[in-house]
Amino acid sequence: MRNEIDEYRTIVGTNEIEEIKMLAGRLEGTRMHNVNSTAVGGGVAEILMRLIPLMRGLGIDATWETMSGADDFYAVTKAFHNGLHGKDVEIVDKMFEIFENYTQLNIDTFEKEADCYIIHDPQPVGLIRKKKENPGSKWVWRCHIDVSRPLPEIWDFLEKYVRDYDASIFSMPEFSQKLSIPQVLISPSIDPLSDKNRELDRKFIEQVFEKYGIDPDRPSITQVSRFDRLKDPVGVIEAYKLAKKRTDCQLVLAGGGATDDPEGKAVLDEVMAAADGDPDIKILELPPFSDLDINALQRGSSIVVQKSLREGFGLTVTEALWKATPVIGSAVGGIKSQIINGVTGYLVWSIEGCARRFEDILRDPEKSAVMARNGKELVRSRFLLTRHIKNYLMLMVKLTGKAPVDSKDSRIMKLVSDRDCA
Amino acid sequence: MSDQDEHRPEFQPFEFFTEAHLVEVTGISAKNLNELLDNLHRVSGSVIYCHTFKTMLEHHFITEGFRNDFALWIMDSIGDEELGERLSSIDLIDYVTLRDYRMKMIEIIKDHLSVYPEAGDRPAKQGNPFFFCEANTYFMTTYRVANTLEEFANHLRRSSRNSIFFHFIESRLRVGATINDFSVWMIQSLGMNELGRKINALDPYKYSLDDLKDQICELVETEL
Repeated sequence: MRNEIDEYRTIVGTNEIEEIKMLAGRLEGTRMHNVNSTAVGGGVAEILMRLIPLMRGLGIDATWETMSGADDFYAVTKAFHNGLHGKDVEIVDKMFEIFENYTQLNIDTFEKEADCYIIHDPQPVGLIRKKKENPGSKWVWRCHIDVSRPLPEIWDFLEKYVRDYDASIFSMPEFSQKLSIPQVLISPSIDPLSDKNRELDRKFIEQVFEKYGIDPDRPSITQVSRFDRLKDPVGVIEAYKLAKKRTDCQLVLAGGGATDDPEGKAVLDEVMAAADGDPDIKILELPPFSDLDINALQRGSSIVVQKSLREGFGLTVTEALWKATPVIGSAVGGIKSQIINGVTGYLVWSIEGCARRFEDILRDPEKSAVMARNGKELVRSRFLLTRHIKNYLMLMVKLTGKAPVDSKDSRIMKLVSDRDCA
Repeated sequence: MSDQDEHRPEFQPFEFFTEAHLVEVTGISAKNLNELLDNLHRVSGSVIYCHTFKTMLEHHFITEGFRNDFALWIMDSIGDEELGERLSSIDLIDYVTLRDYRMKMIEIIKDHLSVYPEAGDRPAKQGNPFFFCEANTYFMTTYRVANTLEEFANHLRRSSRNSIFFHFIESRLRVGATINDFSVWMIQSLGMNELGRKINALDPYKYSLDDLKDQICELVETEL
């Protein structure tokens, strides 16, 4: 039966869609219930909005609800979120009490029966206590955030819940923790059919360049990132200035507006000062919903750079690779898993190295084009939404025992988790 | 009737399979070469597979200088080009067991550390440790079955990269010999030894998996 997933056939190939359907076929009618903390805004809600209809189209009874909470709960979870990211936040016992109270409140009203529960991020983690009412159900904690350097008192508190799950999912190995339950790795992904990533015609790209005063006929280097010191926009300007001594180029720093973020405003001032009125440096404060413009900037640029000092996964790198634009990225976080140095782009460790790679790419368009093609293929095989769905299906197949390890059925599908290699 | 239609006594139809992977983090990591070496001894075969064979599949488009995850980390994070180069040059498809491949890597790292003992403690750049992950592999039938070379050619044209990988590369671990499933079938079921030999002689490092498929298709189609 044809459904929404079939729209991706031309992008990932018929075989990939058939494999997804085969995995889904093992799970037909399986009830998969997702819980997170917000219905709109934020990356998790965005992912679920795409994931749920695609899963339903594949025959999975996928559902989604948001937990309930009030301002005091969200103040606590915001502090937890910052603390899990390694920020120094003040934690008092009252916060744990508030968290527990709202957890119990949600448990008392939680009625959804399912075969597999996917609980997203720390806010609803306590729902695991419902498992005892349906011991046969499988519970997965999906952590979307960077918990590589959590404040111990917060992680220790959450871990008491996490350990009771059947499995956890992390976005990068760096985020994984010492846990007694399996930790599955599911990388973030991009949707190739979204406005941010879909194909654009040349004319539209040129119009966007003209709108922002960028000359489409001259080389351009673009970094798309909020104005944040960890994204090192000033370092990008310094690298551009070094490269510009020998190679003509323009620089585009595109980020969100910084009006409601005091730190963002300060960084923007530093960036303006570093640009020092250079007419070839365009500093763009893009409004929300600028996905098509970002798409055009990434597609039309000669180079996309992500010179972060620290990075989560780095989806802007994924987006640029997908558009077959040559990419330079710092060797930090998830950028390392996307850029194979010299093969899908260039990894850099310094401002000078970044400048050198700007020149390498601008001077050798042939090699750059090969790297860009490789980068696109890497994203096609590892970082598209279809792979994300496939990973979820594989995990559910494993947890629900729908992939026999050894039975007469194992000719159709067999799971090998333990390869003989003594 | 052509040669390939005269089924040999050992004749079996050829069933096309494919594979997919789900990765798990083991919680084991290495901050320098000494730690990498220690852990290489004790991690599971699924870990070795994950960072070598699975990486080869995901980097299917690389037609020169394939590097497994260990070699990539050693070059990019430890900054040891010489060792990275040596580990990259181990020919994955020469190995029919993960055990032997693991032992070869260990042997090379030990040899390197005997020449450069100080390299063992050199920390990874910017604190980038190597995280050992393991692969769960899902083998699936594609429900495509060939009874003749013509049917085989038709199915092969429609096969995925993962399927080509399963039958041409990963087969070595299953069969325990440096031969691929396609060649085994042609030799044992069709008696087409020369075609089987030619296909087995194709160099998967020279081609992307797509190009490799084209090469196999061309060889098969010349026999039709």
